[in-house]
Amino acid sequence: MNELAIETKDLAKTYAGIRAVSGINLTVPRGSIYGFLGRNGAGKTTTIKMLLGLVRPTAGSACVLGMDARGEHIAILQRTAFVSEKKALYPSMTPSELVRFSRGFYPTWSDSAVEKYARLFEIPMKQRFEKLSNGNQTKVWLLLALCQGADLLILDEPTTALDPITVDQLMHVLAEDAPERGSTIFFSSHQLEEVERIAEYAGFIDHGKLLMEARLDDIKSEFRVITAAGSSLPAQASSQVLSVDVEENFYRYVVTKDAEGFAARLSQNGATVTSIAPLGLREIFLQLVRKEQ
Amino acid sequence: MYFWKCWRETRVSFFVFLFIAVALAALLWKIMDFAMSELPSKQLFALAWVILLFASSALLGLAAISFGATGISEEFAHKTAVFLLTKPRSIRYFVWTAWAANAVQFLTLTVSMMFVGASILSWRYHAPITGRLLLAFVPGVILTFLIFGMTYLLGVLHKSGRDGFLSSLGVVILFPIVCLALEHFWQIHLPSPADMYPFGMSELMSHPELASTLPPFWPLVGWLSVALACPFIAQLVLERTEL
Repeated sequence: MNELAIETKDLAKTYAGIRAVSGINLTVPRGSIYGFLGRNGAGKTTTIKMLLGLVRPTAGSACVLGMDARGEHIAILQRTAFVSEKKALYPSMTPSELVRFSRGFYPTWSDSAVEKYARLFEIPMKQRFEKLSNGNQTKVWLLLALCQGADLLILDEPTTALDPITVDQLMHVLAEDAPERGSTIFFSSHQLEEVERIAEYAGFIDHGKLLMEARLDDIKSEFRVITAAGSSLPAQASSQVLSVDVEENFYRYVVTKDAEGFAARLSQNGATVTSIAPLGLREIFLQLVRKEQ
Repeated sequence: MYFWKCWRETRVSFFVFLFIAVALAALLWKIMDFAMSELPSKQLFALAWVILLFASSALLGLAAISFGATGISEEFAHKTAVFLLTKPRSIRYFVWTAWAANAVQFLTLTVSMMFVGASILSWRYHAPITGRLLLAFVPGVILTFLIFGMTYLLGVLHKSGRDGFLSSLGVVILFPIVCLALEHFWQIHLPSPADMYPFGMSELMSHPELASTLPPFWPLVGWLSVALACPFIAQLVLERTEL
C-alpha cells in the first residue's frame, strides 16, 4: 500500500495564461495532519480542487489514497471528506435534512458521530441553513465532513467565521479523533497558529509555488533568529541568511541551517552574539515569502 | 438522495400545477356546457377534447419551463455545486437524476390531466375514449419534454436556472414567430415541433372530429430525440466544466 495519502508530481494549473499552481510536488504521509499554508490567492484552493478532480491540471499528476485524481476521482470522493472554502449549502434545508441528504452517499457514515458533533458544536439541527449564522454554517460543513468516516479529510480554510471556542473544539477534534481512526487530515489555512498547534507536517505555498514542505519540527529547528551587537557585520542576505535587520550596531539575522556555525563566525568578526532563538511559524512563513519575492 | 432533494425543491410547484391541471380538466365540461350548450353532445365532446389537448400542452409547457429551471443549474447559481460534485457520484448521475425527478412529475401531471379530463368528458357526453384519441396527447407530451430539456440545457449553459428560464421563454415565444415569418416571406420551412401535430389548432377547432387522427410518426421520433439529447448535451457540458 502506498504510504502517502497525497502525492503530486509537478502539478500545475494555468488559467488564461496565468499560472495558478506551478508544478508543485506534495507528499502527505498517511495518518498525518498536514497544514497547507499560503496567503489568499496563493494556489491552495486550486491545488485542493485538482486533488478532488474538480479542476483538471494543466500538467503533472496527483495521486490521492493511491488513486489517480483524474481517472479515479469518484473512488477518491468515496473515501474523502471535504470542507469547501465557500460554505454554501442548500439554503432551505435544515442541518438534519442535510445529514439525511449526505448520509446515503457514504457507506461509512456514522449517525453516532452526527449526534456527538452536533452536541459538541451546538448546531441547531432544526433551523434552515440560510437562517444560521456564518459560524454555524461552517459548523454544519464540518459536521457533514466529520461524520463520513473518511480516510482523508481535506479542509479548505475550515475555521472561517468560527469563534475562538469552536476553533479550539475543532482543533481538539482534528488532533484527537481523526488520527485515532487513522485518517489523514490535509487542511489549508492562513491562520498559522492553528497549523502550528496541531499539524505534524506543513507545506508553504506562494504564487503557486511550493516554497517548503517538511515536518513541522524540522522546519522549526531549521530556522533561527540570531541577534548580535557589533560594527561592520555582514548585512546582506545570502543562501543561509534569509534576512538582516540593522539598527545602529544591533543586527538581527534570520538564518537557515547551521545557526551555531553562523553565530561562531559572527563572534570571530568581533560581534557579541546576544541570543540564538527559534522562530515561530508565522515568521518562518513571512521570511520564506519575502525571500521568494 | 439527489432525487429526494430535487423532488423537495419542486414539490410545491408540482402540487400547484397538479391542482390547476385537474381543476381545468374537471371543469372543462362545465365551461363547454355553459358556452356552447346548443351544440349536439358528440360535437361538444370532440371540441372539448381538442381544447383539453391544447390546454394540457400549454399548461404542461409552462410547467416544463418552470421545472427545467431547477435541478443542476441551480447548484451553480446557489454555489452549492462544489458540495454536490464532491459527493461520490458521476456527473451523469446528477444530471439524469434531476431530469428524471422532473420527468416523473410531468408524466404524473399529464396522466392526471388526461385521466381526469377523459373520464369526465366520457361520462358527461357518453362518448367512448379510444386509443386513437389518447394518442393525440403524445405530441403535447413530447413538446413538454422538449421545452423541459431545452430549459434544462440552457440553465446548464448559463449556470443559472433563472437565466435558463428566461432564455427558454424567449425561444418558446420567438421560434414560432421566426418559423412563420420564414414560411410567409421566403417559403422556407424550418423543422418545428408543430410538425408533430397532424392539424393546426384552427383546423381542429373547426373540425374537432379530426382529433382522433394519428400524429405523424417521424416528427414525433425526431423531436423526442432532440428532447432526450438536451440532458445528454448538458451532461457533456458539465463533464467538461471546472469548478
